[in-house]
Amino acid sequence: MTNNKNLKLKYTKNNVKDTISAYLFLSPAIITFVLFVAGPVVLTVCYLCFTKYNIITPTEFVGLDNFIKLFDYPVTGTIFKNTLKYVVVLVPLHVIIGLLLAIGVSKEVSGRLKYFFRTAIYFPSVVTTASVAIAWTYLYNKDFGVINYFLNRLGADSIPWLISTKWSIPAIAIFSIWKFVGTPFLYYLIGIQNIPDSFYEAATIDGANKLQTFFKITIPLLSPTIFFVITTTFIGAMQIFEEPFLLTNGGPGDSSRTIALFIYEKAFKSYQMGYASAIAVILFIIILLLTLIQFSLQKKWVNYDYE
Amino acid sequence: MKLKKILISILVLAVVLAFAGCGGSSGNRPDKDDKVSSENTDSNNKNEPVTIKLAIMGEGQNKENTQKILDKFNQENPDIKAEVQYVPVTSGSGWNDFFTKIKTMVAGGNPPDLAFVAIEGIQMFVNLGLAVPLDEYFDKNPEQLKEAKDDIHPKLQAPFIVNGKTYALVCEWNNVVLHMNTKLLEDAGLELPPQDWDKDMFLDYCSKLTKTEGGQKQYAVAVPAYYFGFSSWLFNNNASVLNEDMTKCTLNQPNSVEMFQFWQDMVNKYEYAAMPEPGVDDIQRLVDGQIAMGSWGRWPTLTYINNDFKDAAVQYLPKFKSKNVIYGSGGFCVINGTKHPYEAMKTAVWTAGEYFVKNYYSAGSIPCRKSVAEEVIPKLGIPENHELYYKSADYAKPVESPPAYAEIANVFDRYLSAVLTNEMSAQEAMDKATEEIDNVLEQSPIK
Amino acid sequence: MSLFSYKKNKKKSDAWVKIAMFLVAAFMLLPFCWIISTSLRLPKESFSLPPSFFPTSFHIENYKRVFTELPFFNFIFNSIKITIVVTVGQSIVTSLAAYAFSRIKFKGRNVLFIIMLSGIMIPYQSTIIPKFLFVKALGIMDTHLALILPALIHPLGIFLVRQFMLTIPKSYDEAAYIDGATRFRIYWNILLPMSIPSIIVVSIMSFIMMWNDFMNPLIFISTYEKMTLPLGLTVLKGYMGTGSVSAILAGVSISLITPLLIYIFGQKYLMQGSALSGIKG
Repeated sequence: MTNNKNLKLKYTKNNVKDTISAYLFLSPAIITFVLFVAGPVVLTVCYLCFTKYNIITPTEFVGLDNFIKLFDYPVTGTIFKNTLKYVVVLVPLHVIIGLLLAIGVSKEVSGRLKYFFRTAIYFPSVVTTASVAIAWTYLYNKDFGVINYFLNRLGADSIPWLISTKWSIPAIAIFSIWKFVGTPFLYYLIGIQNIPDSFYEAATIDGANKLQTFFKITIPLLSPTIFFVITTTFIGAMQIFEEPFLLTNGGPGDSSRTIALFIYEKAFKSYQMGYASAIAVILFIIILLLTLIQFSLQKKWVNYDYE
Repeated sequence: MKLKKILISILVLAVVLAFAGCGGSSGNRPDKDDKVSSENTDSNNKNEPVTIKLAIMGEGQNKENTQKILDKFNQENPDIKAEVQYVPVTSGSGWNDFFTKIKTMVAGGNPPDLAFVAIEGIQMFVNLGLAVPLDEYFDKNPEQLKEAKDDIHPKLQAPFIVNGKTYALVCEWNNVVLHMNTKLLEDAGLELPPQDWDKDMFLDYCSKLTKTEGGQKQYAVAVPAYYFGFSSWLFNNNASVLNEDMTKCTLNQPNSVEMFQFWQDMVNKYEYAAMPEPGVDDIQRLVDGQIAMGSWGRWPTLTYINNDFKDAAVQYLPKFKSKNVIYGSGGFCVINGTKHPYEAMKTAVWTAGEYFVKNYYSAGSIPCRKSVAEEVIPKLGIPENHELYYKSADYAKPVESPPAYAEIANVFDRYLSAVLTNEMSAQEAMDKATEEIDNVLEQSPIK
Repeated sequence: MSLFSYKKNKKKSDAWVKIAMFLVAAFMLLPFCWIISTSLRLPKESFSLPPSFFPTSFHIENYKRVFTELPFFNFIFNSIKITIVVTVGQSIVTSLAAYAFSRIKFKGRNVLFIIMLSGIMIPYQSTIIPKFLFVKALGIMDTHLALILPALIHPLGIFLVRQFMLTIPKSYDEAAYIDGATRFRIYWNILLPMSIPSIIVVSIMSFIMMWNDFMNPLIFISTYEKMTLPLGLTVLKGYMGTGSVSAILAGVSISLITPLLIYIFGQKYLMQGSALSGIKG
């Protein structure tokens, strides 16, 4: 009895000590997490978005004014629509092109060529967005850009890529695909390589044709990766900032202005910190809701059985 | 065992602290050194000069020359070490972004001692309490104020006197004129137009200067797609961005809409004008012979010199409903938060003096001092017809500079580009712009 | 429909798939060829058409110009310094936290872990404004610390290293624990060395992230000499104008060197990182 009690006592004592040492190990992570991740989120959502703050004079509580102001602002609709356009264009393109490229590369027999293709497709993903975006503004130039030169050679008219309201989002989307498709491509490539050959062999024996095996085996087996790519590209597209900032600065007019760009302009150009926080909160809520919906839908189609 | 555990915990803590400390010092070292040295100078060593930083918009291409000019001041004033600090802009059209950067530096607690403030920003700087008036300095040195007043055109100086206080002595100004590539004029069989040319003659010039050769298009004129430049065209049609007391936007008035319509047609209907492209400098395109004309101040002379380009001439903008000349001036303001206000003021006043103005503005903007301008501008010799630069001060009108300039210019830029792409009618765009600008004027914390 | 065929070990790859892949590779690589060949041209000829994707001339003046006229060495040095400090610092923070999460039973472990993990999903825009205010309050605005401190926390990294540590058999450290080794020594002598592969993966990911970071420097750095390479390059664009596209592209070319080296030497780890974060995330 006494022995047992001692043991228990020792255990709880140990537990307290364990807890202390665990928190000591965690302290750098917790401090930075609170200061730069959790704290800011809480501050934005619970406080800043209800205030007026221009960083020079003290904050002033204004209730829901910022949200009303955002609702009244005539350009808000355009900005949200633009962001939606990026999502609608970029998510399917990344998901599908990335998959096709990964399948194409996985078909390559020669190890060297495989390496070459993989490098060519993935390399833009590791280079600095800012520096290649600069180069692309020149490639896109209407009068002496390389892209229009080729279009002209093919008999097409020059396209005013970055200087027309019609083409600004397509131009940014093409750049974005070029720059970032390598990431989903790599995820898929790894996923495909992890599919055991035996699945395909079994399917062949069952007399399945190529298309059937693709939709019955490859897609279901890759579904966790596809889900991951959809979720991450969706969050990325909702927050798209660098590409429009560097290529068009949101223009011409408001044609390529996004929510993220708008937040940046309000927060760090006109110093309406409260107003910008309110927009950030709305963006946060949209992303959170849509991501949760995706997670709840995933049960219907994502297949984790083979892992 | 217990002791050991306590020891581990202490060790972990020590590692954490050591790491945090060393991350800190390695990250901060260069900056800290800077601060220490400047702080030292003001408390410990009275003999050491105090450092005065002058923030100038730019990327530092002329840093050595600028510093050389300041070194003259440093020699004359051994107690001060004036240093240029270039603040580059990352986006947008110039002043807007620069003013924001200065604001960030003040808010972040490391303001420059002086910043160059163009007319567009002065109301904003005063209203936000970013600038310190120079009156205290002039009270002690009245002769300097008098000397400056005698040589600086009062009209150029006027915008920098707010509520009776002088916030800067202007050191430079610009008027918007039409620059022309004379080689292209010659090729088209044209001469420099007369001073009183009008819209019809301008259109005639444009049609003759637009052509396509070997797949490369030559445009007649660059769109004045920036606040100051476009304002000058608006002025020539009896229009403006704001009403006289700058409380309401007037962009949707018929005269203004007409001018926006004109430029929309210039780009889309006549195809005389080149749509501005990101990353492309129209001044350079004029030098390269891709564009024949453009509306700028005297600053293209810097590009001309860099390219050894001599075939440039200037003329006033063509007359539309009226004939006006716009101007904008600028000077160095002492920034609130400087540790050495008196020395900063002394430096600020010196930048409006003859030596600085003469050397710094030998090319680029027009020197504010009549005596200097009349000497320096002919001496440079380019562009042709350069006397426009010092003869127009008497009847020029200032560019509108409301306290909420940054926000308004932002709205202005956005709708101007919407008009130029032909996506919106001029009337529709200007109605929207007016609504937004009125909103800014109403809601702006600074009035 | 051969794209959908499944046999991986087919003797011959389909010709048209191969052609398509070559076209894609050309699309991906030609912009780089254009950047490099144009950076070696005379500035005047930078826009001459037809474009060439292979160097036609070798004017290295453009590269000299970038270094002499601008604080380009500063940009490079700043980028290297910040990236290295962050990568090292982050590895320490990450591995310490991963150790606690994978090896110590303590109150609130699961809750804390889930909270930290949810940090991955938080959009950047919803934290940037208070971050700016904290940086301002700490008095580190316009210093490199403003870029370093917020980057030390990397929730995804903690997750990945923790997953890796869980795969290390407990018998290794339990034996040491019974022998009376301290927790820190177990971490330092056993788990840290054994989880080096995962730490390298995380380090390479964060290295690339920091090297390419544009928005944080844009917001926190205003002094020219303190800028990092990506921010400095955008400034370069404003300064040089069209007359000097070659010089701008010389700067761009230089900025590509580090990612290229990282790719060549770290691709194995990059693949692993993608495998870990992609499939298990």
